[in-house]
Amino acid sequence: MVSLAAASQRFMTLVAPDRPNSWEVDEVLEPLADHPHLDSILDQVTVIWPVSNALCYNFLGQAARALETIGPEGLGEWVREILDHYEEGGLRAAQRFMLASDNHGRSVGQDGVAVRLADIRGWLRPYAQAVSGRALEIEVARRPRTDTENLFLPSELAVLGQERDNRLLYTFLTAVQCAFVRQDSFFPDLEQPGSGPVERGEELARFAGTFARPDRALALYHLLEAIRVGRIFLEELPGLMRQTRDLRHSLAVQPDSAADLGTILPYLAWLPEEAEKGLLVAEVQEMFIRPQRGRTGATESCRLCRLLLPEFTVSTGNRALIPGEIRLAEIAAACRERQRRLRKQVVAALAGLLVRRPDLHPLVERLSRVEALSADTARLVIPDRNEKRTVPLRADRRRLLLDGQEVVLDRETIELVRRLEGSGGALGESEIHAAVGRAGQALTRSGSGGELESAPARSAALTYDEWDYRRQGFRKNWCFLVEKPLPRVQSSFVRTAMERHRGVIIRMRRKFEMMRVQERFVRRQRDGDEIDLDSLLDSLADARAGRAPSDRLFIRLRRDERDIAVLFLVDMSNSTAGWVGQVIKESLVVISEGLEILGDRYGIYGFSGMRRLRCEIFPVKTLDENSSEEVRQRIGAIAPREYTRMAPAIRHLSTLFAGVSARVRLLLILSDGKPEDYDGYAGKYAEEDTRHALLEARLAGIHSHCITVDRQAREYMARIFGHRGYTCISDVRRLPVRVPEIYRALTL
Amino acid sequence: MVQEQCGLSQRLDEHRIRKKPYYLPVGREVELAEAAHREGLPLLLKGPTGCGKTRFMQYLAWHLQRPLITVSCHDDLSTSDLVGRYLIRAGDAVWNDGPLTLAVRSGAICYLDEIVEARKDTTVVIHPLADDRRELPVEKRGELISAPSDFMLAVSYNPGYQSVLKDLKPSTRQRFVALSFDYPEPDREAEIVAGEAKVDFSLARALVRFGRLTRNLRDAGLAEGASTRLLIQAGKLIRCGLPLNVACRAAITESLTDDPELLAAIDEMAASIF
Repeated sequence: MVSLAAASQRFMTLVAPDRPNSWEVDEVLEPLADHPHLDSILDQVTVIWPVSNALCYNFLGQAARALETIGPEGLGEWVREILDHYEEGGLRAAQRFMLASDNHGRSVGQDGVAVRLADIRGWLRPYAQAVSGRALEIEVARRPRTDTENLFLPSELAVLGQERDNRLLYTFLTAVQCAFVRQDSFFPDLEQPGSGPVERGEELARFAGTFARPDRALALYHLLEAIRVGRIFLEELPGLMRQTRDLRHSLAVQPDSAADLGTILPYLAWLPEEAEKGLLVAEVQEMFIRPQRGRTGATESCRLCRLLLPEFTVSTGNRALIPGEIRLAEIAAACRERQRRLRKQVVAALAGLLVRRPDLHPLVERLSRVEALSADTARLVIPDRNEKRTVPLRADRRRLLLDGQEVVLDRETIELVRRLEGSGGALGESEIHAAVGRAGQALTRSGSGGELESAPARSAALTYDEWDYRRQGFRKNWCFLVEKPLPRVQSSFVRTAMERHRGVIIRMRRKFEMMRVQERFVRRQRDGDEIDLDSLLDSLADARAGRAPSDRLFIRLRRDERDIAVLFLVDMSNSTAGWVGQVIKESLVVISEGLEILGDRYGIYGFSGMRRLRCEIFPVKTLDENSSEEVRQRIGAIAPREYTRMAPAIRHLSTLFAGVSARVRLLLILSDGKPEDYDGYAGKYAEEDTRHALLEARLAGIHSHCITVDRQAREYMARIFGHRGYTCISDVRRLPVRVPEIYRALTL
Repeated sequence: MVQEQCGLSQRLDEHRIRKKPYYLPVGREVELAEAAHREGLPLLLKGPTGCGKTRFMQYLAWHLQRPLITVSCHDDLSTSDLVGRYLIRAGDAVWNDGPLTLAVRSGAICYLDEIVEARKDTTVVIHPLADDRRELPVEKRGELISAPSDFMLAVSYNPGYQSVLKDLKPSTRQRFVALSFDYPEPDREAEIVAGEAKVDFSLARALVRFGRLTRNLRDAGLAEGASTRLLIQAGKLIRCGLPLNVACRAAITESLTDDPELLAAIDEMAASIF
């Protein structure tokens, strides 16, 4: 019992300052007290406890059993998955995941040199995207499978002795699953559609349902598809097939002469090149080797499946890795989700298109008040195939007919519509109606004109991931961020500030005007637009005097464009109340004056919020907005609010920057203290998350700099922003002077 | 004057295309361009890098039997660089025609490659040439040159950059007959690679398959996938006896990205294909 006491003691220190019930702790720790890997288990407590205490107890209850299959080194990955499930579906989902013993995600055969998925994920993801033609997320599961949106692979492969072979095996397994996606293996055209149309993603379920033993049919179908895909690989990825030949041989179970289909097919799935060897009845073999033209594809596998099913028995051949698993419900869900997503995108794109066409506005406004649109009023016109073929260079002439008016779709929208159609959806009356409604809404909301297309999209909450350093992974869609308008206030703040800092502004103006080198003539150039008469005279005189004449005889107009876009992110947390907040606002007034002189594009956003579910960002001035009285009033309206969750705001501004093209993209943060939020978002966690958000911004080509007035800032600022990434202003009142100076130094 | 004439025809001769360039039409672009030339309309070619825009122009010039004067645009390109300038020679200021003026005078085809790279004020000089006036004012000489019917203006740009700055002004854009280019269908592209790099068709097919895989990565970190040009270059290296993987790495993979993970992924793709 000594060890239990020690364990629970350790647990208590790990979760401090929380003080959980000691009997509860003892209860879950008791079975683990003498566990050889107790330390590794307890290490995970710091990761899970802050997320959910209940989940942590649950984890402790399951850890011992899980360790048997995953081993201590797989624990980290397992916990990461648990947390992902927790964030997606709550405690229940996480519990289900822990209980589902086949999800421990490790495929270990002999004790070979293991290759971990985490180590090769970096290149495996783009590889999968290239082979499948779709951006698949790589997730962990014990057996390979795909739902056409995600690719599931074992977290570790140690099936073969050599590290290189295990790596190759990963590549091969990835390629096979990707090929299922690429070849539409899960969406065969059903020969007899049965009753009624089939939803995209339901095809296989419908197909399997026509048999007495659906599972057997599905297993057979999956094997046939694997062989078909393998045959394609022999043509298209011969390098992969050659490299993996030996390892595939060692993994496949060689059928004997009297073997049945249940043994032969898994063998062929591993080694499709053996299809020539006469393991099958001649006519079946022929179908594998030379599928008839026009009868290839998943549909052919359906036909073969029907044909071969009576002879097929599910055997215990090595099928775990090839073809892997197939989960129809997941596939159907992924399809629905994709359709939903694409439909939304199409509607948004279409709404934007309508808003951009002022001539259609009356029509849009009229139609948006209609309950529903009939197919006659709104439809998509697709030119027939023959016409399309004769149009040179693959022009797509899709257009929309709206109450007799033709709307030509732009490239982006056409691409989206195509993808929607590819996923089994279509642009119909209801989508067009939704788009018209949305456009109409946008029109009424903002009068007319302006940046309407983004308005409906922005009003919804955006989600951002949050970096959790303890598990070295993201909490997916963790923060909900809304853009909120600042309240309208009438104040003389800006005028007063301009008055007060008149001297600063005048000095800054001089300095900034000197920075604004736009166009100047440079003399004595070797090459240029005009002849430089002075230097020509000099050189002629030199030549007469017998000296070597200069060849620099031209004037050249040189233009140095300052191509800079800067976004200011202003801390609107509670702590800026009073003097500090005033000075920050005053410096904004001053620097905006300076930026107007420089002609740099700039935007100002305030941020605050409380808890991850309510992060708020307040646009004061967007990049493309002109400086106006309204903007100045909004600067005046900046006021202290709640907490300082800086990272989602940084991530949000980074996404705003994504659509901006400028030589230099700069994010300037004005703050007065550490990142902090109400829900325990503080300390190292908050620092690491902010640091990571800045890192993401830097990877996106955005420079960032923080100006802070916190006296205690030095210790943590370097950790978050890097040694040169911040400036501490000890005298708050100097801020309006210092901000232009810092800006000048940063962009000179 | 005779000397000047002589100089002009000599300068033009450098731009004549005597040998038929290899070009495989993918649609009716040749017909369209021919009609545009006949009617005195300017051409706008758009499409990704290395998909054959420049080659098409060479082919067209050969087909129409006109000299082709190509200017690669850059952000320091001034109006004088296009129209011409005075040069000082032995104490005299001598006027020197720029490539655009040269083309207008002699009824050649002037091709401004990557027009969006040029500054917007520079591109304005082509406006009077690109509408029904078809004339080029040379301010410094006080001259107004009317383009002969043989003269043709063509510009190209790559819409894939998706940069707001690198877009054509509508006032420039709406003067042109636009031809959109893209990478050809796999079999066509293989035919092109095989023909240009002089490698056998099966290797060309594999190279094209590889190229198409990299094009799937367009949103995953690559600005653009491997162009037909890159595939041809790889083919040429292979023909010179370099091993496949070395050639692909040098000609394709390394020129697409510096990102270590993407490099590894593309290497793996190459290994899978060859």
